[in-house]
Amino acid sequence: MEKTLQPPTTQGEKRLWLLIWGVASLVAGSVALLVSMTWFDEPHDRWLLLAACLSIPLMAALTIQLTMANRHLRQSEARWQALFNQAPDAIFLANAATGILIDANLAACRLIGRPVEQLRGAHQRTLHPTDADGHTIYCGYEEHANTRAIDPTRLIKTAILNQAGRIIPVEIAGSRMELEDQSIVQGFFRDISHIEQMKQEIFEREHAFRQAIETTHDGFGEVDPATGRILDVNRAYAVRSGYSQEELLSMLIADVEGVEDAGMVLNHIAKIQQHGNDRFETWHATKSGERWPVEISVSCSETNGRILFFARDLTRHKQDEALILKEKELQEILAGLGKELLAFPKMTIPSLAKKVLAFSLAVTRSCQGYINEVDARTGASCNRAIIWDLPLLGHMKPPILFQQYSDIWGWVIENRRPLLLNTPQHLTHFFSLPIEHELTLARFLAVPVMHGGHVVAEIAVGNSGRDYGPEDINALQRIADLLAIALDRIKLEGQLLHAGRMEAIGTLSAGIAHDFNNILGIILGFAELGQLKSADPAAVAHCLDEILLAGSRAKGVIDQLLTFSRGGKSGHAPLFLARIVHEVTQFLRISVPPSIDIVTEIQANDALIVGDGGQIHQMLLNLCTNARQAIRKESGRITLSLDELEYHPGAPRFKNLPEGRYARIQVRDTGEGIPPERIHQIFDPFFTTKEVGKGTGLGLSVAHGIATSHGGIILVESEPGKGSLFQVFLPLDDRPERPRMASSAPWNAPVPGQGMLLIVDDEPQLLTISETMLADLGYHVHAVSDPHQALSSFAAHPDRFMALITDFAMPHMTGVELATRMRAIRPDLPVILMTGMGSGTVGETEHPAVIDRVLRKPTPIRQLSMALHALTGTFQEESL
Amino acid sequence: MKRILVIDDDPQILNLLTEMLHTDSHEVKTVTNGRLALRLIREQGPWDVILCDILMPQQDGIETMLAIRKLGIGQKVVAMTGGGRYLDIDQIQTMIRDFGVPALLRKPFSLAQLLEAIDQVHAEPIP
Repeated sequence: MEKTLQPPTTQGEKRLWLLIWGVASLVAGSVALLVSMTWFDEPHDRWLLLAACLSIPLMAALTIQLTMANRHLRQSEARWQALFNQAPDAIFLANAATGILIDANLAACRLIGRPVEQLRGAHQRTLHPTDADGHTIYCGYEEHANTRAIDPTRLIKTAILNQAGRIIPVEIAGSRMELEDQSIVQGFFRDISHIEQMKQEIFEREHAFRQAIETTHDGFGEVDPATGRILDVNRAYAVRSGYSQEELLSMLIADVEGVEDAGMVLNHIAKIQQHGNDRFETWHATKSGERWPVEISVSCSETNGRILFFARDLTRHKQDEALILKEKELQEILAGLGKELLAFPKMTIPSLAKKVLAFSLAVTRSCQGYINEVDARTGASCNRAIIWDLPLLGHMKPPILFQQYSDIWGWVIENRRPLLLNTPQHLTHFFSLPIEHELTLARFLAVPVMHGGHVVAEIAVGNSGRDYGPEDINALQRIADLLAIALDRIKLEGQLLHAGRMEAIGTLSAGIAHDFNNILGIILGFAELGQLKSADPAAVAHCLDEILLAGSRAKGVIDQLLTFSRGGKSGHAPLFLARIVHEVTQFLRISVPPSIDIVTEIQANDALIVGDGGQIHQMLLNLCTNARQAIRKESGRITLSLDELEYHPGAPRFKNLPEGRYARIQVRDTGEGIPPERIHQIFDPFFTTKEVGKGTGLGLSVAHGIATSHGGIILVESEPGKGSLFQVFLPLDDRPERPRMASSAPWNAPVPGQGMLLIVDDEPQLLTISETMLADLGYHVHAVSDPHQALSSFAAHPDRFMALITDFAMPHMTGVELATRMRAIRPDLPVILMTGMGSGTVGETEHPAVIDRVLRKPTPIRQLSMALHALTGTFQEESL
Repeated sequence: MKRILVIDDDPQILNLLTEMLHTDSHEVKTVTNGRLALRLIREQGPWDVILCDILMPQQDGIETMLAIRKLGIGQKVVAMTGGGRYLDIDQIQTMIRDFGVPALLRKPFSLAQLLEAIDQVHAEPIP
């Protein structure tokens, strides 16, 4: 194995070699020195030799050290140069005395846009832009540099002009240093253009914000949450509050708050801080002490914790709200009035006017007023309701007719527009009526009630405690509109009812004619037979019986007709529906072909309502006529049923009906039915499926109107081809004291009785009839044609007679007189007065105390027998 | 003397007609509706004259007269009516003439009118 000498590669090897060589040369040098010293004998020479020998390594060491120091210096300079050149800020060095630039770093060259060679030797002034006069904007570098020696944090802001001509804002930190004998200033320039830009943006934004704050109508402000002091406030708030902005800035928010005190305000602020924001309504106070409603939107600033608020003035809003509220109130009042006018059954013009006047007074807060209706033909006005404090009018009840208008009276009727007077008027007359004392009107407001372009009435109010305004005219005119509609409705209803009644009478007259022909046939026939058999008294009597029976049948028909036609006059009274159903059934039986079955199912024999008998009669008859007309075939069935039911609110079918107990009359037919698409039309006036000329189409409409005016409804169900069912619901009369009806008595059968009756009639024929009929019922009858004779018979045996039945109009003595005399003898004597129609002095309802019952002639035997039973206490009379 | 059947729903009219016809010594049978009349005719054959009211419940006079005609036994019929209830007299007259009832008695009628109508119908040839 052969090992060759290798040059040292690693640092350790090199050092090892150096060490070896050092030690070797040292040993060799020392050996050489010792050897050389032996050559010189002189000690001086030896010392010289030693010095010479020793100076060589010393020189070498010195040279090495110098080289090392020089190297260090160069390294340091390079480092500083790199630092200088790579510094992010621009650095300029200048002679402090001359201002001539000595050096600049790379950043400086970049900032200024010139190479360092051009910069060196230039004056520092050339770095900066000049003003219009060519003066450098900023030159105080030196001074700055000096002061910085004292305050190292001081910065100056200026700008430089770069080679491209752009002015760049800079911030300069400078310092001064003494180098050798030269004084040098150095400047660190920092480009702050982006900062300036940001600042500008911030400024612009703030300006815009401020402008917005000052532009808005809402108040704005800032409040110190700790003290409640106002830190900022805009002009709008200042203007509204009456304070100046300066004044407000020295105030607490609690000073302008009109509701909360200082403590409450701070509490509120604490709450706002907790939640970050809030919105509430409150009142603020102006400088003059006026309170104004305000809506505060408030939030807590995220940066400085201040409370920022916007204050919206709600004064206008509140006024609007008040107006809206007033309008709403008026509308509610009007709706209420409208509803009442609609709901009021059997509204007459005076009752309507009275109601409307009461509303008008309330709405306009007036004490006095009147409503006059204008006659369309004459133009005269008729007072329908008045509340006016005039002695003259105190004893005059409406209607008062005013023919002439003068001054303010009737002004609106003639001028067709409202009249508003807030100045006192002194008048010596009221319409055409002169008055004793002068009439002073403090204020007066009248509006015309217009319908179809005509003045149909006027509403006037007066003497309110305050001036009338446009809102009063508005309110009154709207009431007037309602009145116009209601007046029209009343008139139309009257016409409708009348037309409906006429139609029904027309429809039924044919049937009545038929019945009369039958009855006349019987009467004439038996009269003829009686003549033929005049020799045979028994046969004649039989004929007469038949004639009498037929005569009473004829009366029945006439009664029906009268019941029907009296509708327009009668008022509301307790009514037994069973009776009306029965009457209508009777009427139907004589007016529809016998091939149509009429079936009655009365389950509520004593169902009692309060209503207009004639109208209810007509309503049922109309429904039945409709049922009859629906049966186009010649046979069919009409079923009338009557029952009572309790209406529970949950029941879906009659949801418009108030809770309560109702009588239900059902009219069912087996006719052709109503197509579903027409069923909602059937109650419309003039809706008819009949051919022209066969009907007006008013029947169901009238029926509906009648049901509604009695607080009830009509429901209809129909199946085409199978028939229809009309159900009438009428509220039952719930009064505890109700008339009772003889429910067990068959309708037409007179009730037998016994006892002695005294009958007085100056007409022998009628006397005979009554005598026979009553005798048939089992009574003993003492019949007398002369009142005086009757009186003496009675006086002889006053207790013999159970009752007196007397005619009213008799020669020598009226029935009333006779009764009075007999009552003087026996006060408890029951008295029935029979009177012919139109006899005048004794009506059906008002009769003297001595008369217990008044019966109209010719009296059906049944009615007479019922009255007798009632008076003698043997039977409960049905109510009539 | 003739055998006469009277159909009317009004018992008082039946009474009246019976008595009126008795004055001329006719034999009278009364029924209150058309069905009973038809049964009688089927059971006992034709009558000399039938007096038939037009407006009746259950079976109408017109129906009854049609049914009688359909029997084809040459029954002679006098119709009676109180007049226009749901048809006018002319319509009724036309209608009944169409099915061979020439005589229409309008109520009220006298004894003479009744007897004359019966004689007149009876004297006519069988339709």
